[in-house]
Amino acid sequence: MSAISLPRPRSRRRRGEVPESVFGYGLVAPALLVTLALLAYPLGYSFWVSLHDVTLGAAHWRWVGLDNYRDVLSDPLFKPALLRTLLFAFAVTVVTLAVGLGFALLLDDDFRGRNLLRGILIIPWSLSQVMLALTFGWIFNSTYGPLNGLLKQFGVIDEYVAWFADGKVVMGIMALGLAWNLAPLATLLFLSALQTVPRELHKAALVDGAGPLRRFALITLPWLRETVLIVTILAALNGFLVFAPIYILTGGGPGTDTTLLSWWGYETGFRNLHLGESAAIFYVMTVLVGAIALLTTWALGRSKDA
Amino acid sequence: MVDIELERVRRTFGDVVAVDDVTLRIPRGTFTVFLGPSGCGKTTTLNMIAGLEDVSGGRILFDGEEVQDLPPNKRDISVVFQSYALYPNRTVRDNIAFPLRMQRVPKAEIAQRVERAAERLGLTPLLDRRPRALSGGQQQRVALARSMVRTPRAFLLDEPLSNLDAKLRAETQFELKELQRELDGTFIHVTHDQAEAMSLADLMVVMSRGTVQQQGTGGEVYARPANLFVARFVGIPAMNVVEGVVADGRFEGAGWSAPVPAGVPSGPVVLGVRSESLRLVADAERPVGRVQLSEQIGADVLVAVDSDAGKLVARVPVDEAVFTPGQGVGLAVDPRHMHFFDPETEERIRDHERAAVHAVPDEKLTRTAQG
Amino acid sequence: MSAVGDRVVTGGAPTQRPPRAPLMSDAERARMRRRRAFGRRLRRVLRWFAVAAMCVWVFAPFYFLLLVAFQTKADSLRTPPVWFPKPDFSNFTKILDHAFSSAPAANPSDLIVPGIRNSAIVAISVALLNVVLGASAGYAFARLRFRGSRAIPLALLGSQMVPAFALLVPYYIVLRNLGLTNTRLGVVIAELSITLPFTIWLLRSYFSNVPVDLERAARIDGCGRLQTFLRVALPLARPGLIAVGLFAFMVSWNDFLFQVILNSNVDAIMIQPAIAGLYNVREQSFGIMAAGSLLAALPTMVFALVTQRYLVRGLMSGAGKV
Repeated sequence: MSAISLPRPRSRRRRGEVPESVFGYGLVAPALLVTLALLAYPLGYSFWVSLHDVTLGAAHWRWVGLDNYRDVLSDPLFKPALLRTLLFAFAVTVVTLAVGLGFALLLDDDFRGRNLLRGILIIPWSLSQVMLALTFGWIFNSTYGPLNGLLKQFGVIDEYVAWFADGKVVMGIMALGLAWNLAPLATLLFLSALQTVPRELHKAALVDGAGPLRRFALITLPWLRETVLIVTILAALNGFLVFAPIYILTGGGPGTDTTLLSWWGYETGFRNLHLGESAAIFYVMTVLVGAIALLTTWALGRSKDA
Repeated sequence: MVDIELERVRRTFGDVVAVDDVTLRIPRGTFTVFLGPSGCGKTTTLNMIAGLEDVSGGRILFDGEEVQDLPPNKRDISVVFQSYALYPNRTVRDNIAFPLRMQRVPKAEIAQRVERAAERLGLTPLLDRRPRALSGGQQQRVALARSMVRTPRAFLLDEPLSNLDAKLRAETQFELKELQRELDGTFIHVTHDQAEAMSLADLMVVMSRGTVQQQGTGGEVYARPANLFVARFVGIPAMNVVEGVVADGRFEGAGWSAPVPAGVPSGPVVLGVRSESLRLVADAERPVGRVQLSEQIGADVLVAVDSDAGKLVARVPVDEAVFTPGQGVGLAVDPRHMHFFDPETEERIRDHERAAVHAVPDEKLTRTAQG
Repeated sequence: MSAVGDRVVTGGAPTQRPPRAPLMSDAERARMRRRRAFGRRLRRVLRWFAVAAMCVWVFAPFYFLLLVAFQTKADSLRTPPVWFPKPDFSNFTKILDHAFSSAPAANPSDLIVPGIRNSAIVAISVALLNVVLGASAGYAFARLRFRGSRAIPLALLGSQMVPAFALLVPYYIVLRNLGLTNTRLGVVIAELSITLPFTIWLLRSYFSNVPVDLERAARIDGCGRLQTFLRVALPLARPGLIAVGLFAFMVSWNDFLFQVILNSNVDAIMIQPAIAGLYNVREQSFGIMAAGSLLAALPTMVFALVTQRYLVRGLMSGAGKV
C-alpha cells in the first residue's frame, strides 16, 4: 500500500489541513456505511428472521429457535434438492471447463481475425439469465422450437421431441444454457493463461524429443491449474445459485424434478409464505456456497505452491 | 563431435529478411561465438541450426549430411536457453534425465549418466530440489547438465550468461570454456557482449542485419576488422573514426594531418584508430582538440577529447595521464596502427596491406575466410 | 581455412574421422516429410473447425431468436419452421406502440418499454453511486493509512462469497416495512448491496496500481488531500471508473432475483421481469418474446461490444496476475 503523506514531525500539523486518518475515514465512511447497512445488517437480520416463525404484518413473530433449521434439514425435499443442485453445478462446471479449454487451445495460435473472434466471445456473457432462459426455452420448445424443426428436417428424428417433459433433460438444457453463458469467459481466462507459458520451455521440450501430447502434459497443463480452479469456482457457484431459468421455464417441475435449492427457498418463502423457513434454507445455502468457495480457494492456494 | 556447415542459409518472414545468405564452416571441436547487436539474426541462425526454426533457403550440413528439414530431436544436438527453460514442476534430477527418458535409455544407465553430469557441475546436493528453489547460477548449471547428459554432437547456447550477475558471469564463462575443452565439443554460443565473445571464442562470427560481417579468431577480428561495423562493435571503447582524405602520403581530416603507411591509395577515406594506439600530445602548437574528461579504468585512463571529428577517446597509462580538462592537445598515431575504410562501402582498404606483407614482418597476418 | 585457436584445420576432408551412421535414412526422411505436411493440413482444418464451432456457439441461439422476432406470429408457428422469412416488424411495433400511449398496460408486451425506462433509471443510478462511493472508499483504502484500512477490504472480499439469496428475505421484509417495495429506490438499494463491495475492492486494487508520484507532486505543489483526490487521482483512474460503472450497470440491468421479488406490481416493472412475463407457452407469442428480449439485451450487448477490447484486456491481465 503506497501512502502519500509526507513524513513530518508529529507535533506540527499543516494549518487548515485535515489529518490523514480523518480524511481517510471521511472518504470511506459513506461507502462503508452503505455497505454495513446493505450487507452486514441484512445478513444478521436474515439469521434473526430464520429463528422465528414469520407472518408478515404481524406485530410479533413467534420465536422458534433452531426449529426452522431442523425442519429444513429433515424435510424430505431437502436431500433431493441438494443433490440436484450439486449435480447441476457439476454439469455446468464440466461443460464450461471442456468448452472453455477446448476453444482456448484451438485459438492459441495467431491467425487472422483472432481479435475479432475474441470480441464476439463476449456477447453471450453480456446477456442476462432471463434472456438465457427465454432463448433456450424457445429453441427447445416442444411444439414450435427451431431445434426440433432442424432435427426433423435433417431426418434425425421423426417426431418432435418434448424436451421439457423430462425433468432431467430440462436440467441438462439449463446447464447447457449456463455453460453457453460462461464458456466464453472461461475461454478468455484460459487463453490468457496459455499465453504466459514461456515459449522457451516448449523449445527445450522439442529439443529433448518430447511429442505434442507429452509437451501438453508437461508444460501446458500445470500452467493451467490455477485457471482451472478459477473457472471451476465461477461455474460451480453460478450453477449452484441458478434461479431465473427455473422460475421462467419450469417452476420447479415437472413435479419437483427441477426443484433446486434456490427454487425451494423461493417457493417456501414467497409462494407458501413461510419466510422464516425460507430464510433458513437460504442460510444453509450460504453456508454450502461458503464451503465450496473455501474448498476451491484452499485448492488454489495449494496449486500455487506446488 | 561434428563439423557444421551452413550453405547460403536464409530466413525470411514475409518481406522481412532475418538471415541473408549466411555461409559458414564450423570445424569440429571449436568454440564458436555468434556475436552481434540485437536483431542481427544470430539467434535466428542458431535456431535454424538447432531445428527450432525452418530454413527459408540454403542448406545446413552436419558432417556432410543435410539436416535442415530434420526436427530438433533428430539432430543429436542440445540447446541451453537464455531463460534456462527448466521444467518447473520436476526435480533437478528429472530435468536432467528428461532427454534420456525421451530417448528410451534404460533406467539404470539414465541414473548413472545423471549422477555423472550432476557431479561434474557440482549439482549433486541439489538433485532433489525444484527449479524455483535454485539461484540463477544453479539453474543455469542444471540447464548445462541437461544438455551434457546426452553427449550430443553439438552444443548450442543462446545467450546463456545474460541473466547472471557480473561476477557470476565471469566465473561461468571460465567454466564453460573448461567444459568445452574437456568434452572436446563443438560449441556454438550466441551473445551480444563482445568482451564475452573475445574471451570465449576460438572462432568468432560477427553478424549484423542478417549477414555475416566477419569471421575469424578474436585476435583477427580485433586487429583487422573487415569493415566499419566490426571495427566499432568489437573493442571497448569503440574505435575512433575520422573522415578525411589521403593525399601525397598523408591523411588530412578534422584539422589534423598525419603520415600514412606506404601503399595506401589516395582519395577519400575513413581512418580508424583504436584508443590504445591514439597518443595525445600536450602543448601542441596547433591543437586538434580539447580534453573533455578522463576516466580511470584499472591501470589506464580513458581521456575523451573533443575535436572536429567528434569525440575521440585515447587510452593512456596512468603515469602519462597529465591532461587537464579544457587543455588543447595534438594527436599522434603510429602508421602501422591505422585502419582505413572506404567511406562508401565501409569495407576495409587492404591494398597497402597486401603490398606491405613483407615490409612488416612482425605482424601476424592470417587469412580470414573472406580473404 | 581459418586458423582457429591452436588448431589449424586444413582445407581437405579430414581422413581420420570415424565413419558415422547418418542421422536419418532417406526412407525415414520421406516418411517424415509426408507426416509433416499432413500434420500441417490437419492443424489448419482443426483451426477452421474451431472457429466455425465458436461462431455457431455464439451466434446460433441468436439466430434462432432473431428469426422469430422478425416473423409474423403465423410464420413463427409453422412446422417445419420457416428459415428465411420475409422480415416483418409487427412484433416490434406492437411493443413500441404502447410507449406513446397513456393507456394502462393491457398486454405483457406493453410492459417492455416502461420496463426499459425503469431499468435504465435504476441501472444508471446504481452505476453512478458505485463510481462515487467505490472511488472514495477504494482510494482511501489504497492510499491512506488508518485503522482497519487493511482489514476491511479483506472483509469486503469475503463478502463476495455471500450469495444474493441470503439477502432476499431480509430485504423483502425491511423494504416492505419501509414501503419501498414496488419502487425504483428499493431496487437501487438492493442492487447496491450486491455491487458495492466488489466495486470497492476493484477500485482499491486499481488505485494501488496507479503510481503515486503524481499525487506526491501535487501535494508538494500545495494541493490538499481532497483536491489531490479529485484533481489528480480520479482522472488517472478513469479506465477503472468506467469499468466499475459498466459492471454496476450490467449487474443491475441483468439482475432478476431482487427485481422479481421486490416489484410484484406493474407500476415500477423492471425489464428482466417484464420479458420474463412474455414467456407464455400457451399464448404462443414467441415473436413478441424474442423481440422484447432483443430490445432488452441491446444495452448490455452494445456496452460489451464497445468496451470488449478493454474488458478482455482487463480480464486477461487480471487472470494472469492471480
